[in-house]
Amino acid sequence: MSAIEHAIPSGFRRTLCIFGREFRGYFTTPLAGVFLVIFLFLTAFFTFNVGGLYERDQADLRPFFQFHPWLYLFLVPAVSMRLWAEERRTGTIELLTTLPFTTANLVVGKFLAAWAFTTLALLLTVPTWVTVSWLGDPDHGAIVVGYLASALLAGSFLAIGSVLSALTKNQVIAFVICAVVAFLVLLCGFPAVLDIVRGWMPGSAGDRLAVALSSMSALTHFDSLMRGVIDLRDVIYFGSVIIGCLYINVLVVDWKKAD
Amino acid sequence: MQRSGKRFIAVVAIVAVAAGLVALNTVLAFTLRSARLDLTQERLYTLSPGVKELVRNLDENVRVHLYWSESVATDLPQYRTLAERVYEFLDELAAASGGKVVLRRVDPKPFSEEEDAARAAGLAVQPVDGTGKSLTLGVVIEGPTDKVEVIPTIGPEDESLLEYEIARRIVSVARGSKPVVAVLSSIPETPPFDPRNPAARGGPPLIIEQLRALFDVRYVDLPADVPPILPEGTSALILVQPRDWSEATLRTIDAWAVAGKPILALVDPWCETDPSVRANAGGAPAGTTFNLGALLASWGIELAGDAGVNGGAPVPLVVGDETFATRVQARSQAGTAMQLAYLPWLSLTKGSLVKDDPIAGSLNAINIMSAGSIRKTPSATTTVSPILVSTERSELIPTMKLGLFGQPDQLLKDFKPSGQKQWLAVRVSGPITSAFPAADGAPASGNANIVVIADADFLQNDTWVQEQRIGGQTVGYSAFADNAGLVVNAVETLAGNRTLADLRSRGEYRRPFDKVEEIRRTAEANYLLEEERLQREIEETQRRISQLQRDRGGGTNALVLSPEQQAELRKLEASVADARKKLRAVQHTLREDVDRLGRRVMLANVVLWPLIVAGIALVWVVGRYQRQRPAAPRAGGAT
Repeated sequence: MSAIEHAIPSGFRRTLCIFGREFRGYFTTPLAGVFLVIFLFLTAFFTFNVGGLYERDQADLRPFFQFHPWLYLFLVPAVSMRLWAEERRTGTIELLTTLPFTTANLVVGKFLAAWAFTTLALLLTVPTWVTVSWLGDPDHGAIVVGYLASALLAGSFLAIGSVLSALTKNQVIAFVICAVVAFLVLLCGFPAVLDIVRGWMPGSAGDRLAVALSSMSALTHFDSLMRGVIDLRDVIYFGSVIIGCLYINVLVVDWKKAD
Repeated sequence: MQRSGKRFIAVVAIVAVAAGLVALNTVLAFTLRSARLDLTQERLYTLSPGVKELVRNLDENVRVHLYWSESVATDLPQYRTLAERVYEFLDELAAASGGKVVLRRVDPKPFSEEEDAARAAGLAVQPVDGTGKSLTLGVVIEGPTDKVEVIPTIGPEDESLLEYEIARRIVSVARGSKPVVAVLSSIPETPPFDPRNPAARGGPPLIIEQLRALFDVRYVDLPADVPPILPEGTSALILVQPRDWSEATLRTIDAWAVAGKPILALVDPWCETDPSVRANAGGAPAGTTFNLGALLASWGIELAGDAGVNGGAPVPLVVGDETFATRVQARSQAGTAMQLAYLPWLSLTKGSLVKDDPIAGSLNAINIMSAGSIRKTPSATTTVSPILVSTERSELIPTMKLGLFGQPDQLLKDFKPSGQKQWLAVRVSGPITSAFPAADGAPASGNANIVVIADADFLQNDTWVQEQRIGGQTVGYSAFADNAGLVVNAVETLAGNRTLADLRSRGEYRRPFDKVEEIRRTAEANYLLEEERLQREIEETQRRISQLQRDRGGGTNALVLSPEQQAELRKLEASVADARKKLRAVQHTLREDVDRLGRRVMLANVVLWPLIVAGIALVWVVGRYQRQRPAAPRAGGAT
């Protein structure tokens, strides 16, 4: 009994320990800075030069958030690709497993660090919010929910990318596959992806799968939050994707550890 | 062996978790409802207490049918989520009504009876871009009588207005017999054919049609000498731009007012949409003014006007407001086509719609055209409270300066804010005395229940709705202002029913960049000043050129200019050319301030901010490197 009591807080502490080590790790190389600057430049470029935030003459952040799903398709895999592939390639995974951490500690700690890093990137876009507030009178509630939606989407992509990174030693492969899977998750439920499902599984089974998949589109859940309403279903969707992927991640790491 | 076992477990788990995720979210999509937190400023997606109250207090059941082409839209998730949210909203409404609202969901499958029913009810079929599909998403509301109200299509942009639109229709079908509202109007119910605008929609204005959903609206003939015959059971009067009405008519209105019965009076010092103006549009001034005899004075109000010349009729004044001025495409006096603020046309928004009053307090935007300024007279016995007000950045403009589409640039140049707020619409209550002496001595008296709006143009469709056409056919109208809400709320509250006025019309039409608007206004004012200066310079130079040509030496060489004169002429011509060039350059600078701010904002976000972050990152990396360097030899020494 007392062992369990001790295990819970110490498990949490161990996860935090991994989180701290990993998060600090981002800032030991200039790569973090490069990533942040590229992220900030691209979001601002798409918001102002493609989305026409200023020309629209509307005090909201729609042109800002609407590009996030597409930017994350490339930027999130860039963060997630090295989560496990790097450890496996260099063999440090062996070292990690000899330390007194469970696989779950490692998976969750690494994921949280990556998520905190992408959230930091997202928070650094606050000047765009300030700009819109200076120019006009936006609905701040809707913007806060927009940021939440964006962070949840990034978290889901990261969790997916983390699994895929654990499946390969090659970061480039992890990157490409993560981008493709994220694209499918974004658009599943849309005709383009459902047609693929139907082609792959013809007949009524394919139709049924298509209907089931259509409630799994990240884009519809993202758009739903974008109105400024936190719907429990959208939060559960992103939460379940993150938790489900992390669970798979633990199994995959255990399985691949012996590789 | 152990590895392949783990691999098997992993693969099975991956499949199980993926299936679990899909199952969980599919089930939740259909079961978990109403668990949401609406963080929008105006709670756009939350059922308001007013509507809950309304449906709970319905006398008889109302049936609501949601027509949604569910089977067609399986792979159109965006439409599906919209339809799902509409359904949830209606479901919540039905739950709040305690059984008074009965909700039914209908899928009008192609070639089915339901599809025929949808067509018969007037629901629209919307084609979905790029898919070759078309679907129906609309609502039919049936009351206890055979009355039916329809929302033909619902698009994503309609969602925030859905509550108001549904509630309005529920009230409409639930009312057993509609109260009678009599309209006394100088403007005919159906406008005569206008040769200059042959495509104009016939029939009464949409506002009147919307009012008809809730009231039995009847236009009353206004004979020359005998009193007008009001329909039996009339519960409110609407007066539209009274003009040359007989004393018998005015007496009827007076008696109605003194009896404390509700009146909505639209009195416009400059009604530019009056068709009688169009009929004789040859002359410069184009706009009619109202005349309600002594009635306004007996209600304790007057409209601002300049004293007439030589004791003639006073010259009406209209309110120009810099803050709310509508932007129109116009030509400056130098001929430049540009967007200009037209001071007398006002797009009233927050700050202008008095919050405490139920008529405008729930609305977001009202568009009016050259409205008058209402004041309380010194001898008033009534209480006069504002409903629509201008800002302090406003002035009173004589109607003589307007013409049919006066000169926006001249009005802007002459603009001098009075520093006073003007009242554009007011509510009058309290004791009034008849404007007409009674035959037997003391005039009748009573309590006023009157709303006066100093504009009649806002009734016209162009001021507040835009026609939506698909393939040359009108499929509906989208409102960009709440003009109809203003009239509906006024009549409702006057007639003692606040149900609808208490509903908030919460659509956010626009949130423009105030900063940009401010810059645009300043730029325009500067431009017009500069243009005027250059224009004067050109005129002056041209005057001197003609002077010079007239003055050429009288004697024998009358046709020839002296060399000095020629030199001067060349100089003058050059300066005219120069001034014209400057004028063109000034035109280019008109948008420059706005564009410059846009460039700066863009550069600050796209270039400057990433550079600052890059700088911080660089400092961080260098700092780390330097902190680590002295440590390195020690570490080396230790090994």
